[in-house]
Amino acid sequence: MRPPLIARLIARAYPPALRRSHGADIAETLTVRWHERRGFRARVQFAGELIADVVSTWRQTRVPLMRNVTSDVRDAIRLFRRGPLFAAGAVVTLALGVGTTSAILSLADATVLRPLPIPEADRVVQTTFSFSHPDFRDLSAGHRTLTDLSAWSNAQFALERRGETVQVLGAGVSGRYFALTGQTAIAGRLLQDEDDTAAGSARAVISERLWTRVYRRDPEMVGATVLVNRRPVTIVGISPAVFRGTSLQFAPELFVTLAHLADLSPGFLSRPGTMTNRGTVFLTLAGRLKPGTEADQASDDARRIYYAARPPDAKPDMSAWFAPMLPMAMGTRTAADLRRFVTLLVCAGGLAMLLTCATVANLLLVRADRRRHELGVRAALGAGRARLSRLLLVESLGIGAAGALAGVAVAYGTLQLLGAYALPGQIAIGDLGLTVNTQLLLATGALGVVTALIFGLAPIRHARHAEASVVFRSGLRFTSRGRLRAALVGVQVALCVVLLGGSLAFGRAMAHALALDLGFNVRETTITTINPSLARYTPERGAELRRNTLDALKTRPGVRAAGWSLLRPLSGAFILQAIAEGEPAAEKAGRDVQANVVTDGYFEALQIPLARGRAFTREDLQGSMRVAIVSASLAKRLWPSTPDPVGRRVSTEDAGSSDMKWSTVIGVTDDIHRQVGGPPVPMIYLPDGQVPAAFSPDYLMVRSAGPADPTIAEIRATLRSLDPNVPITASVPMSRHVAAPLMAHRLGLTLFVLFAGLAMLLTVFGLYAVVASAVSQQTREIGIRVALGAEAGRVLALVARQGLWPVAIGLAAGLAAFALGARLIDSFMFSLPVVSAGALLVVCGVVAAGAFLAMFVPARRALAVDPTVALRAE
Amino acid sequence: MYQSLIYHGVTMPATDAYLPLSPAVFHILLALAEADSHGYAIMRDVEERTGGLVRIGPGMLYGSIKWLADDRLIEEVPSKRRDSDDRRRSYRLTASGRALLKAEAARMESAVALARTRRVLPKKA
Repeated sequence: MRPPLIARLIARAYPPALRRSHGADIAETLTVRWHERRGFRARVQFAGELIADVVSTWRQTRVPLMRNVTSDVRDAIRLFRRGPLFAAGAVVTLALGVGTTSAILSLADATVLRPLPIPEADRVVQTTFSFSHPDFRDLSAGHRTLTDLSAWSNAQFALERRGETVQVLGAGVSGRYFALTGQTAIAGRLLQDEDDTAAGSARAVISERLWTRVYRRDPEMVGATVLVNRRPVTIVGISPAVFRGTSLQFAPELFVTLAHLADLSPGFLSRPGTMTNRGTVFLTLAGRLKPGTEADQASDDARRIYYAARPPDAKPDMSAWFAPMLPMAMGTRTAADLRRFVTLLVCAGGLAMLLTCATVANLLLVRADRRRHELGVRAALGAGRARLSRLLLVESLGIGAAGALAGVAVAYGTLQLLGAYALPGQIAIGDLGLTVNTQLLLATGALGVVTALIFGLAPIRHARHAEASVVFRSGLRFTSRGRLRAALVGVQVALCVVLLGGSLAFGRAMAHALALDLGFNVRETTITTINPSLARYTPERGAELRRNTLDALKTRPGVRAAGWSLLRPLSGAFILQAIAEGEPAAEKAGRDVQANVVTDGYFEALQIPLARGRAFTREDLQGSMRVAIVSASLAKRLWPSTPDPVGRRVSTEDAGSSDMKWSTVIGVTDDIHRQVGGPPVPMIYLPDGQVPAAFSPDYLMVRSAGPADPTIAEIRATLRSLDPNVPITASVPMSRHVAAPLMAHRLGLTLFVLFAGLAMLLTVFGLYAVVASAVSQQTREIGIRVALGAEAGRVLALVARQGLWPVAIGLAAGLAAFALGARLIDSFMFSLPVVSAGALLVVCGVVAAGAFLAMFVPARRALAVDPTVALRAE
Repeated sequence: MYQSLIYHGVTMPATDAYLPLSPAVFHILLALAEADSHGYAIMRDVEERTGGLVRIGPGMLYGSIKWLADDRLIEEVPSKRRDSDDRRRSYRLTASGRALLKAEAARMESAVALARTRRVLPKKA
């Protein structure tokens, strides 16, 4: 009897698993029942019942599933308790991978990918050089391609709070600044066009960070009047902490109205005419491109307006005046380095994540092998494939989820650690106010969970072609899984090689940089920065303070020498053109010379040797003979044929100027480096008594009799005794100052060493597991060989073969990958080669040592195999 | 009350993880409690015993039989007549299946007892 068509059709709707196991039974029952029902109505009713039955059957297949999940969870927890080491290993590995990777990705996101929290930031363009205030006014009135055209100028402010002076980074900003940057106040309001008029009083917005740090989030601050550089300023509102201005390097915390910046500022900007003189350029301009316009059009538009206010014969500068703000926010000089460095970190993080996945996969596969027996018992007791899958699924999910959750804590911890370091361009990571990016954390966490799932369910996958119970029961060897595990070890070895190579490269670069002789004393000197203009010192009072400080320090027993300088070693730049009198051929040679303004005692303090002549004295003043000191390399450039340039004359005025002021060279110093790893730089030194007040030296260099650190308090006390109100901005040992540009290297080194160490450890374990399980699986074969008189060497070769293949392939792949990636590290190497024979030898040696370590124990076990026991075991 | 079943040294899910049973499963177990039986016979038995009140469709019947067998609550009876063309598979209760049926009956009994104390049902004569 055949069931009718309708019954057959409906029967196809039953769950496939049921149709496979009981299809014939169902068909038979359907047929019998169909023929029991007679008449059209009865059969229609029967069809209805069948449909209802299909629905309930589907629903029922899910009910026991849900019921069993609770017991699966219980089983999984029981298993974790039975093998806590495995569970802990997998969870910790996952947590480390997920945590560090998402922290590094968050850093990359906040610096290179989205450096500024500004809406439509990719439409914002910024000027590539500075403009005067009248030009800004003309541009904002006449510009057609930009909206919210704004101007700002960064500045340092001294904020008075309960009699104490707080140094604050700030900016004078125009009225549309906060509209351009798309910020909203968290209290009060932000500055608007109406605030930015000279007629009103000075107003300011403070950052939430300053509000918290200095004012302890006092709500009364909105509307309060504070003293900024000893001038009253009204605070109108508070900007959110995430808004850090328009650059990664400089985060203003006090925004004052641009119209009042000149009035508030000491020094350079306080001169009359700052706001009206077209020659006083101090403003950076930025605006948002209108839809359909490009940066080039904005430049053309600006040129049109700019040259309308210039004499008709002025030669227009055709370079790009406006450029996208985002790359400039990373620092024009350092953006490329920053990008490369962050890419490097992301690569290292990616490798660590890959390593994590490989390790977790390997752990799960090892566990799957160990559990074959247990799963076999379960299968023998009637647990179907679905049931076993579910059990494994719950376990893998548990491991994955626990790892991802712990990864959140690791991510926050990693960000804390990163906060102590700096990125290229000396961007302090701690100052960036980083938080873990939730989306990135979710993504890396999901990757970990998926890995755990894929490899946790491997036993089921491999059992696809056979009935699960058969496979588990017979304890079949999965040779394909052995190969998969060996491949995973190969991947681990390759990652190890890359990370070890990176560590070595950074280590060598650091060692090289630290060992460099920069040409001055690093160990025993300190730098103290003061800012007398913030205390509204006159130039004369400033000069007096400098002289008195040197005199007072001379009496201190801990101080060997002291001097003032306009620039600190390795930072800042003061570029002049040096023209040698009577040497027209050397005009080109004197272009772009680094200059420094120093007082007496400077060369002594830094122990920069004088090769010839004398150093500056107190008598080198305005009115006396103009003098200069040149470095040996500049002397050679300017007077190539003169061995002793002392007595020759040099000028720093423009060539052909009607009023050439000539300075007589009184001394020649040895060269110093202005950049770690860079070549020595030709330098010209001018005495502080003979330069305009704007170039007064503010950095005090002190060489102490012993270590630098204890002297700092002494220097501060000396300055305070001379004037309790003098703002001391910073006071650091030279060694720390010199190490600051190496912060990025330190970070790179730390991360690479950490990752490489972890990689090594995990790889050794992975390799051990592979070889050990191969040995235990081949106990019988080894036993037979030993029984047939195989020598120890042959047995060892058999064992070594299991481990050496993945190691050799991983090593080769890793070296190739490292050679390919070397380009990324290249720019941090101080022109040392990234890939060197020595480095490769070290990497290979370390990996070989690790491999030996991993295979030693299983090899010994293989040698100890007793043939009689081995054969009986089977 | 319902302890985990210890089966050959391996812990099986506790009986109460299955409770309460669906009516179909309860009646299938009940049918098998009397005698070993095959699918169609179980279906007829349930219908007759409940006066047509409980009807189990083929999907529900064999679906329940499948998972009861998967969880070792019932088992297939090896066919005695190897030569016969009767392909019908017969089933019988296992010890754990019987325990489960008892547990469900006890659960129902206690529910009924509760209903009596609350006077939802008249007290037993």
